[in-house]
Parts: sequence; C-alpha cells; structure tokens
Amino acid sequence: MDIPVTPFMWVMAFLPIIVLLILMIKFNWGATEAAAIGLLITAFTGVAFYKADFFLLAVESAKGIWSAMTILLIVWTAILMYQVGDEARAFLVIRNGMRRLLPNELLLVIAMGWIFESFLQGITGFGVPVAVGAPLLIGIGVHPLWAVIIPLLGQAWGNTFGTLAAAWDSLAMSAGLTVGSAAYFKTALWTAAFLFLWNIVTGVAICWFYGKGKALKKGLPAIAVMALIQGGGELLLSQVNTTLSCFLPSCISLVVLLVLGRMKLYREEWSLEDSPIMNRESAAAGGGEAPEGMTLVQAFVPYFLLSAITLVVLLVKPINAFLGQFSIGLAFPETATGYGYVNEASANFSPLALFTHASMFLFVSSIIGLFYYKSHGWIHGGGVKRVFVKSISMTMPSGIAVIGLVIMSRIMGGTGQTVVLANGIANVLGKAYVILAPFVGLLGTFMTGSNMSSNILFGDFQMTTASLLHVDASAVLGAQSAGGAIGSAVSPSKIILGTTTANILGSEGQVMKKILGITVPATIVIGVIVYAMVAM
Amino acid sequence: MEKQSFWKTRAGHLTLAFIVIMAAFFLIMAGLAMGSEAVCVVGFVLIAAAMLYSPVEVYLLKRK
Repeated sequence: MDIPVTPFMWVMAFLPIIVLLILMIKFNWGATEAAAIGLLITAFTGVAFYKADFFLLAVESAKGIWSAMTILLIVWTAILMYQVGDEARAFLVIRNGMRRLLPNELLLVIAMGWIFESFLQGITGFGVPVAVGAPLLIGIGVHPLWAVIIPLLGQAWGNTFGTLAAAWDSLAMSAGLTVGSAAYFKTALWTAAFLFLWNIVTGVAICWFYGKGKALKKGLPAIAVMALIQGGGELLLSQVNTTLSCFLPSCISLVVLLVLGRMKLYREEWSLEDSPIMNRESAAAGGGEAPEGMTLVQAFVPYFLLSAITLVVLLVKPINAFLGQFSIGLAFPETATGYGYVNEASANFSPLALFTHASMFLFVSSIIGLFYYKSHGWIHGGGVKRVFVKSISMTMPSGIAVIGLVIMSRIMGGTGQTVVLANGIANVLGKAYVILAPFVGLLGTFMTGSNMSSNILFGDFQMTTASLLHVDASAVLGAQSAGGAIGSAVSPSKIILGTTTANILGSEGQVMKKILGITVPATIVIGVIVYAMVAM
Repeated sequence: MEKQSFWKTRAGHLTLAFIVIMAAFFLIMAGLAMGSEAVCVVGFVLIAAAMLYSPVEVYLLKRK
C-alpha cells in the first residue's frame, strides 16, 4: 500500500465521520438524511484523494447492501415481534404485571432496560436488545427517547463476549491470538476488566437518569449486585470459557434481580413522580384496556420462545451444525485503488446462515406468538394483515439509513481511508497513542455498527501498533474491544433500531448527544488506565 | 376524511427509494456477472441518487 499518511489525507478520511456527527448532533438531522451526506463525501474523497475508481465504489456498495441486509432482517423481525405484542395489547399486560412483580419503579426500569437487554445480548446480539427493549420500556411508561437510550447503554457491555463471544473470537482471530494461550487469556482478562468498569457506569447512569442522587442512593445496592454478577462474573469466566462468559452471568443476573425485587429494600412500591425519563401522562392514560384473561407469562410468550429457540439452536451443536450448513454468500472480484490498496476477491462474501441467524429466531418466535395470541382471541379480524403491513412500513425508512451507513464504512475501508485514519493517529502520538486505543475500537463500531466488525477491522492494526511502540499488546487489544463494545451504544446503525421500534425515527441525533456524554469519558478513562500501565 | 395513499406519504417515498437501492444492487451484481463495469457504475449512481432523496426532500424541497 502506497497511500501517503499525511495530515491532509487523514483529515479527508475523517471528514465523512465528522460531518455525520455534526449533522446529527449539532443540527439534529436524522440518520437517514445524515448517512446520505456522509456517503457522498466518502465517495468523493475516495475518488478524488484516494484514487479509487467508480467500479470499486460500486463493488463496495454492493458488499455494503449485502451486509446491511443481515441487519435489516433483524430490524424487520424485531419490529414484527413488537407489532405482534402491540396488536394483542400484550405490552399493557407486561406493564401491569411487571409493575406488580417489581413494585419499585427504578428496579423495574433496570430490569427492562439493562438486565433483560443483557440477557438478549448474551444470546442474540446484532441490535436485537435495542429493537426489542425500546417498546418494552415504553410499555412501562418510559419516555420514548429514554426508552431508546437505556437499552443502548444496557446492552453495550455484552457486545464483546455476548452473542456467544462472536466479537471476542474475531479479535483473537484478527490479532493472531492462539486460543488457550497465555496472551489469549491475558487479553480476555483486560477486556473483561474494562467491561466490568463500563458495566458499573451503565447501572449508575440509568439510576442517575431516573432521578439523580435520590435514585442513585436507592439503586446502589441493586447496581452493586448486578455489576458484580455481570461484570465480575464475566471477568472470572473469561479465564475459563470465553464463549459463555457473558451469557451465563446475564442469565444469573436476570434471576437474581427478580429475587431482589422480593427483598425488603425493593419490595415496597417506590417511584419518583418527577422522574425526567418517565412519561406520566401516557402511563396515566393507561393506553387502553388490557386483553381479557392474558397473564404476564402469556404476554411474554414470544420472548420466552425467542430465548428458548436461540439457546437450542446456538448451544445444541448437532442442531447448530445442521442448520448452519444452509448459507448464502456472494462472489466479488478483486478491486484496487491507484495507490495499490487491494481488496481481495471473495468467492463467498459474508455468508448469511439464514437458519442460525438472529432474525430467524425472531421471525419464528413472532409467528408462533402471533398464532398463539390469535388462538386465544387476543388478535381480532384483520389483525394478522395489520401486523405485517405495519412491520414492513416501519422497517423501510430505517433501511435507507442502515444501508447508507454500511456502504459508507465499506467505501472507507475499501479505499484505504480507515487504515489512514488509524495509522495517522498512531504515527503522530507515539506511546500516547494507547490513550486513544479504545477510541479506535469505538470508531470501528460507530462506523460499522458491530463490535465484531470493529475487531476484524482494527484487531491486527492494534496488535501491530502495540508491537511497534513496545507496549503490552494485551491491554491495548482489551482497550480496542472494550472501546468497540462501548461504541455500540453510539453507533447510528444501532440507535436507529431503537428509534424505529420506539416510533421516533429522526431523533437519532438527540439520542446520540445524550449517550456521548457517558461513552466518551468512560472511553477516556480506559485509555488513561492503559497509558498508566504502559508508563509504569 | 380521505385516506392518504401510502405511496404519497414520507414512508412510502422512502420505501420507493429502498426499492430503487435494491434494484441497483441487483444491477451491480448483474454487471459483475456480465463483466460490465459500466452497468456496475450505473448501479452505484442509482444508489447515490436514491440515498440523496431523503435529505433533498427534507432540507430542500420542504423548506421552499
């Protein structure tokens, strides 16, 4: 590769990202509009300064659309699941039932916005916790904007070791860590330690949003127990079995939270009337009449099915192997820029194993749930058609944004802009670079919407940079993946999943603005810790 | 009150843009299969045009 890593080239590579951020945060543009401008700038800089031709742009765009399809399938099926519950008015039952089960409103928000999302992240991931969590929180009376923000925060810690450690495996593969080696476990330990820190931040932030100091005081024991189980459990398990190190603690925390709700500290009815995240008017309006005879367990049927189907398909190896053999991938030719930056040809690009994909679990759960509700008379005439029509019309607009963002990241990667961005930072800063190591991870997830993609994109780069700077690669790689996990909370592709199911499409900038206030300081802290380790 | 056709709503317009993007995707794949770079480039131009529909509608057409 002969791309000159100069300040000008670096600024040009950074331009699409900074424009995207400014449009969304400063000017409150929706992701659908901002992504188009970001894409246009990326394509322009790619051709004008990185010597890419239009054929390369076309090929990378097609790859981007194909990759976006896997996300859009999840968006559609998650919305389908939401529409099934909405049509049957199951959210009213969930709201009323969960309020009875967890009379402490703060604990209820923690349960529906953090602990349940952690559980979903442990098994499915790919934005499902955000898409599913937002309408559930709205159902218990949370303001739609906060109903998107809280699950985004709640799911982030599980991004590296969640989805049965898919992102972690990518990091190990990309950085060349041998499974079971000392370096492998040391890196896992650093990653889990940083995520433990972020997990605590998540709990504290949710309480703070709910009611500042008063809520923090009330929620602190619950946060301590949950963070110890989730973050501490993940830390311990990362040294035993990385695949289950998020999933198991997530399951345990879900059970323990329900037990906490029966204990003296949390079993009495408690809420802050002036909580800024609660929409008291909509809660008071009641949202209509709950369906006759539907119990809380019945209202949760699609979600129980989702958990059961996911667990069986992902954990029972013969079933997983059988279903996983049916996959579709596309062939793409080699492309290269005028600077000799080559994108290798691929005979089977990003194969989609449809039957083991999270969207299939969501789809099957939704369909069974739909017929279950219908058989009990909770979905009336025309309801089935309404569910499908609404789910499709809600998915289409967000589809444009997701496709735009993924194409943008593909073109940045394919023209060498991503490499220049990362190399430029490392060249200029020397050892101080390690402070920014988690930001590189965050940037990767911000662009691609996936901790796994961030680790694939930057794992090798972080490893190489750490070697060049003679610093501990384990800590740098841990910072990369933890930064990537945190970045999932501010990734426009993930945010849009929540704004779509919360029915506030176009508010992505407002969501991002609130979350950046937490993610940026947390990422700086991780960077400073790594720097302190290196300097010692 | 007369019910507005879906295709005349913003969601309908974006759905049309989505359909154009998908058509462009198949055009690029067809171009790759035929070995025609020109067809691929036409596909890319279609994608860019469909992507730009939303900002143009929201920030140019509706502001006038």
